[in-house]
Amino acid sequence: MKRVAFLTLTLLAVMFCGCKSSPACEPNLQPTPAIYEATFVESTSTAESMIRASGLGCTMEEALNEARKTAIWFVLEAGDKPLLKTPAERTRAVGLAQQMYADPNRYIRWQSGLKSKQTVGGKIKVSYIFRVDIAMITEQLVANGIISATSDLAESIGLPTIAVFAEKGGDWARTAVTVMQEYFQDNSFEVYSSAQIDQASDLVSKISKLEGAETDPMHDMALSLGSDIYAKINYSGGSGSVGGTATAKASVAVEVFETASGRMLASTTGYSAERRVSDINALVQEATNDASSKVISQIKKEWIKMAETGRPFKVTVLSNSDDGARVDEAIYGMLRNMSKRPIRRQGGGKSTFSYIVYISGVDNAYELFLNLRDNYNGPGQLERVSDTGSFLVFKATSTGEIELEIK
Amino acid sequence: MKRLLLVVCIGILFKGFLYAEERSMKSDDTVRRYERKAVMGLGDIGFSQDSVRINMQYCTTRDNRYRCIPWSFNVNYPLGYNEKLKAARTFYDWTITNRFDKIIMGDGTADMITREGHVSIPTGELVQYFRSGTGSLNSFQNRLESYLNGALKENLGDLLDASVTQRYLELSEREQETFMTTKARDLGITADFIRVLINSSYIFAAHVQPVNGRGKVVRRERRTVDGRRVNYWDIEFEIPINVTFLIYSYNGETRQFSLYKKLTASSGVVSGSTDSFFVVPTPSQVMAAFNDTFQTAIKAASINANYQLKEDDNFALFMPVKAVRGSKIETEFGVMEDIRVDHPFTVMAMVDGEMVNKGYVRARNISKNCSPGYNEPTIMQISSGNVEEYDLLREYPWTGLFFNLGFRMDSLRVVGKEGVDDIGGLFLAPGFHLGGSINLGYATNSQSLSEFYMDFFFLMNVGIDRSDEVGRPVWLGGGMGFSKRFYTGAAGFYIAPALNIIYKAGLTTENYTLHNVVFNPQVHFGFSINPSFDIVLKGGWDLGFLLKAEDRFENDVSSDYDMFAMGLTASLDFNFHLPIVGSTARLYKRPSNICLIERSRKESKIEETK
Repeated sequence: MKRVAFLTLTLLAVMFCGCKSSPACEPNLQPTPAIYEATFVESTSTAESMIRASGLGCTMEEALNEARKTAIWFVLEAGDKPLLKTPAERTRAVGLAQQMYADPNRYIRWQSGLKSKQTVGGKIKVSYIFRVDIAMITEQLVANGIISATSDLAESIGLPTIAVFAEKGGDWARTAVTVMQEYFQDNSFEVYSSAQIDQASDLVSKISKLEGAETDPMHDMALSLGSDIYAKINYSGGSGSVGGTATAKASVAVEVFETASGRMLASTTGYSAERRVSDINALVQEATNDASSKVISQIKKEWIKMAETGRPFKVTVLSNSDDGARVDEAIYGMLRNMSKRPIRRQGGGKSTFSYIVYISGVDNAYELFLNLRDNYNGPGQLERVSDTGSFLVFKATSTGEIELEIK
Repeated sequence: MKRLLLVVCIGILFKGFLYAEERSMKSDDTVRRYERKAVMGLGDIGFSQDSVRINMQYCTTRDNRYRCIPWSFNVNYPLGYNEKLKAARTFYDWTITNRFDKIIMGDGTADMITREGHVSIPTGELVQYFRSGTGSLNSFQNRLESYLNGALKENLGDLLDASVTQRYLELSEREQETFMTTKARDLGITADFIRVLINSSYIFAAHVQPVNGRGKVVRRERRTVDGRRVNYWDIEFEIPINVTFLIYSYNGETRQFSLYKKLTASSGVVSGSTDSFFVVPTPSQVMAAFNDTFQTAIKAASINANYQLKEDDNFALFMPVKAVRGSKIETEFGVMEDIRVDHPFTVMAMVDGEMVNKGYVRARNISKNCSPGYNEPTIMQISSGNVEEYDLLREYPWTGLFFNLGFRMDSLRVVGKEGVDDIGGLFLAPGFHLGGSINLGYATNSQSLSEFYMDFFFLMNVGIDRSDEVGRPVWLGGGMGFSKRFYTGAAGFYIAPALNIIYKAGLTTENYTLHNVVFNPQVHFGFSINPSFDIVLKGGWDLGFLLKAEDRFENDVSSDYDMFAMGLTASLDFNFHLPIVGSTARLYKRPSNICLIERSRKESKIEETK
């Protein structure tokens, strides 16, 4: 009878309780995110980006907070344009990053609805999309001396000056140029408008001809303008239809070069979504936005490197056949002592010589000319012909005569 | 002008697409939610015959003999335009419920029913009318496809495309914090989004397979209080209907309609009978009875189609749990998605890479979400399992109807007076019962009847006890009962007080006959393994009243026995869900029309103030 009663009570207890035990879930007590799953969605403005991030926690609240931390981590350290670019910066940022993880809401301007939820190893894993205020995070990193501000960059190696050219794509490419110029200006670059010039100067053209190799006309124009960097924009578009609705899409390819050396600094392509639009310019803007955020990050990274390896200058010396050999020897010797990297000699002849040199501690081409003039021990004296940005042209002859004709 | 009107109306029709998102912003399947779909139903449904003909029989029953002969009147129900449109409205009311924005195309008019209301507009010659004709399913399908990809494609394709902008304008900006809205609002609609809008449109067409029913007029006899024999007449029909629903989806890119799904819905056997007539029924009375049964059969087939549609993930409701409060949960959807009272939902979650069922919940208070801004959630009760916030709810295809099989033990004892042997009682009478059980809350969509079940059954018991004089009794009977379930905890168990009323006739091996009416209060201890299968332990007490007892010579021996016949009852029951509702279709009430009522009330107030 007792057994029956016991069984009955047990059955009733199961029926009415329906309780279950689950293994205890341990929350993430570390300041850093529990998982590192995040992707870049899009750049909504120069100051903000959309990041899709996941978080892992014992409760929905904890998982959501972890996802916010992951979004902050992504902006700081991950993706193709992290704010902390070097191991040294990451080491310096540990303390500040932990403060940011402790209060990620300060940097999040908008949060989507739940995008995904699952249970992994007994914990809740969620995904959301966040709009992160990258400008604010950058400010804090700069204020704490973890990364250099653009102004610091300017102080150390000077602000790069940029010229942006439309290569292919007609009017749409010109729209892309305008958008790209806006982005560069927002990022404190000095922008030379390509509208100021429609062809390279006579001097640059002649020097390029002398160098022999097939030259890029935009490179020549950038040299003429005197920009440190130049960007080439190519637009291409496509059209389609969904149902009876005509649609279009745009892609904008951006290539960025050092003007002095012609070395490529950055390259990327931005895409728009395929849309029904009344004006293709909107798509061009969308594609350029996509490209610009990637390319600016790459340029900054390369420009910071130049603070250590030296800034590139193109030096062209105009002489004559009689003095040429000795002038070349004297100039090359001086430059070899100044350049932090091996000097690259570009084409020339018996009377005209071009060099690509990397020199630190020199702000502009004129300053470089003064240095060279003061230390020159070759035939005759040095006489400046032109200095624009990273491009220096001067005469070096004992007679004052040069063989290149300049208008 | 007509074209403009139609474009505007179709724009209204499709403006419910509030949840589509940019691809990169889209939620994954773990938190998916139902997106309203636009559905067009073609009013001219197809029949395999141009009229329903049923040869009536005239039956007589007297002294337990039953005889039938052909009757002079036969049913001939023409399937003309009006009859087809009437059937179409029933089909589409039940199959394409509030969760769809729908347009029913008639000849020259289109009825458009959206979240915002109902409007009939003339289509004139703009949209060519589909004439289903009469014939087999194959010929119907061929005719339909050439219509869809011929006449309709040119007109409707343009209109569907034209509606994109209207639908886009209604897009919720909740999830649209993208470049599009933050920097270039006028950028335009993405191709992905246009695809979502256009490709969410479906066309429904129905074809009814040959209708073969049976009908009869039955003459019966009964005795009056003063002992005279009088005749009365019943009209009885049995009509099964099978309907094939052809569902076409519109591919916006190829601008073609292609077959998405073919459903064959069955009504089951739908019986209908009338209140008795004291004279031979007239043909119009027979036709009225036929019409009632025929419409019920159409309704039953539509309920089955609705059930089958919910098996398709594309048409079933999915939604995340908004909040969990004890044994209740909150969700966003409501009457506009045709959530009915007691509607069960499966709780799902992605666990370690696999979608698993975590339990079941049942709808209790349904949100009256007639307008998009309405914020009161639907409340559901957890009946089994463990539910967490943002778990995924998937609508469980359900009709609320069960087939019931029970193995029972009764101990009803008819007590003899002064030396007369008792019948039954001392030993148990094992037996079984078969029947049906229907959730009245779901069927009537009434909150006050939530978790009330109506049972109807036939039973048989064989008594083990044997009396020398009257022998061993065999009990046959039938009855109905009501129970109210209360779920306890979250393990699927429930307890239900119940009351059955049973008519039991007993026949003994010594040819004694007994007639009892039994009131049988019960307590049910049930376990719902899932919404389709229950195991129930029932215990109760038979409180019977002996109506009549006759010995083997048909002498009334009622006075030899007590008026009360009592005993314990117990049974182990199994409930199996039935997707085909048959005659019980009569109990089902239409999806909630509360929004329509509220809208009419508001409109009349506005009229009054004018």
